[in-house]
Amino acid sequence: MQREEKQKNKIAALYPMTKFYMALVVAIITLLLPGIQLKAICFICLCILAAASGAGKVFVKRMLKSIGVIVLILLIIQTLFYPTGTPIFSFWIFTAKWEGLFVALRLSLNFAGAGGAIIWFFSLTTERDFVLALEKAGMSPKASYVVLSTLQMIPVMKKRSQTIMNAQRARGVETEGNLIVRAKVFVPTLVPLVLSSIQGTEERALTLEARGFSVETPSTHYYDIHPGPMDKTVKVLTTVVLIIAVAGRILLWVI
Amino acid sequence: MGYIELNNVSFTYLLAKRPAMENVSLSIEKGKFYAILGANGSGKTTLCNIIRGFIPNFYEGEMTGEVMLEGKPLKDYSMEDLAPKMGYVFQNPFNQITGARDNVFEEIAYGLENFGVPVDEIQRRVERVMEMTNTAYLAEKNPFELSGGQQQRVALASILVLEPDILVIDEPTSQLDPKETERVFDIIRKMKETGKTIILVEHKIELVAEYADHVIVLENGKVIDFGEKHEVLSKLELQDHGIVLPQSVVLADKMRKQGMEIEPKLVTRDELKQELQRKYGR
Repeated sequence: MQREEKQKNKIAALYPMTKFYMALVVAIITLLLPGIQLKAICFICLCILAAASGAGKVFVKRMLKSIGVIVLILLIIQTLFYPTGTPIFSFWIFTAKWEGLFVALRLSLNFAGAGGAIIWFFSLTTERDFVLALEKAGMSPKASYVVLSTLQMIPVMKKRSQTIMNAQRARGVETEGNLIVRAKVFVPTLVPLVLSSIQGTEERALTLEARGFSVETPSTHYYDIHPGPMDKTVKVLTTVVLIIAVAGRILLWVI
Repeated sequence: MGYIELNNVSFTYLLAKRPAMENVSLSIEKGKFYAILGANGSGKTTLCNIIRGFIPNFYEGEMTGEVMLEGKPLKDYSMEDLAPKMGYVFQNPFNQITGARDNVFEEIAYGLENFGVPVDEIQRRVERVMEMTNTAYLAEKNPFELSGGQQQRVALASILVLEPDILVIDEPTSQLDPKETERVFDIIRKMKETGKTIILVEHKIELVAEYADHVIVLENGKVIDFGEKHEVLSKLELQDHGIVLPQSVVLADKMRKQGMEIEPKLVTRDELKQELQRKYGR
């Protein structure tokens, strides 16, 4: 019996490549369409999509943590330091300008639309599903292993560095304090971490070899994913939306 | 000719000053259980790597002599041919977690997936091996979040599930409690009963004495003794080479010195117990 996880939400249950295509189209349309209003409409559509796919909370949280910071910096810098334009208000040596605000808004909406589409995609899709879908689409199993194992190793390395820090602390190495103290601990922590990782890599390569990693036989997947009946329809609809947006952009350009 | 033959094999790791293995000649029979004993740095892991073909294919260095498997030089086998034939469980359990899968069930199934085993069979084989290695309760856990002992059992399960003819196992019980250690040895015994050839590095001498058929003793990269376990483990002079002998051998020697008539070559507790009961009725 093959393992296949079922999502209740119909958008979330779509095949990773379909969702990726949707995200890509949202990003393209956002970047393609002119004007703040149209870009804002795109972003609102993305927010609705995120809510409809059941990833609203995660989406908002991740957006605030990543894009939110960029947007805030952009708004402050562009509005206050835009060289020329109509002033909105002034204080001390700063003068906020409408033109700067509009540039900041346009850039922010580009970031929010394109970046948000990727955030939405990864809020709905596990890295594993995405890599498996890529592998099925022709990506080499070796490349998919590299991606998956790297993602798995990040928390492991973090945990290991903590263990090394504790070990160094137990040996009397100062790990707490100001920036210089923390910088000093960098070498005694990093060297064992890197060396043990290199050493582990060799043995892990042999482990993979012992498990038939380089065997040429087509592999099977115990955990598998397949496109559902909805995927084709969604892909067609997404393509229609993309064509309309491209056509609209060309039309606006010609006019 | 033996199932696996090592003829005058020597190996020096790249940049090493002295050989890690020197003129080693061994003949390993099919379906037997061989235990490798020796102090740290005596060349146990190197010997395992030579038998498995990782030396000289992966580890750089200078190798002389020849290793034969079923009458054919090991170097003529591709890694692809060797993987299903010879399973290898490494010493460090953490490095045996592939990182390709995020739960124990699929970690164990990973090798079978690579060999293109049908999904139904994967399910059946993984469930059976998980039952055998007491890892079924870990099925949904992330392999990286397990304890050393649990990882060691998962690593063993990941190789057992491939059902290789030869099992090379390097200290599989170093992080296990006594109960789990017994279980691992019981699994190895069962593997041997199904005709598998077992080559095991292990320091737990009592278990070696109980389960192994033959013992290989290494010192500084040389085989200082090799033979049937009763012949080898009853040699008291091995203690001079840093080998801890089974308690029954040491005890029998002390009893003999006290004037008791004890048969030689009794290496397990049961053998000594039976001898005492037979001769002294207690």
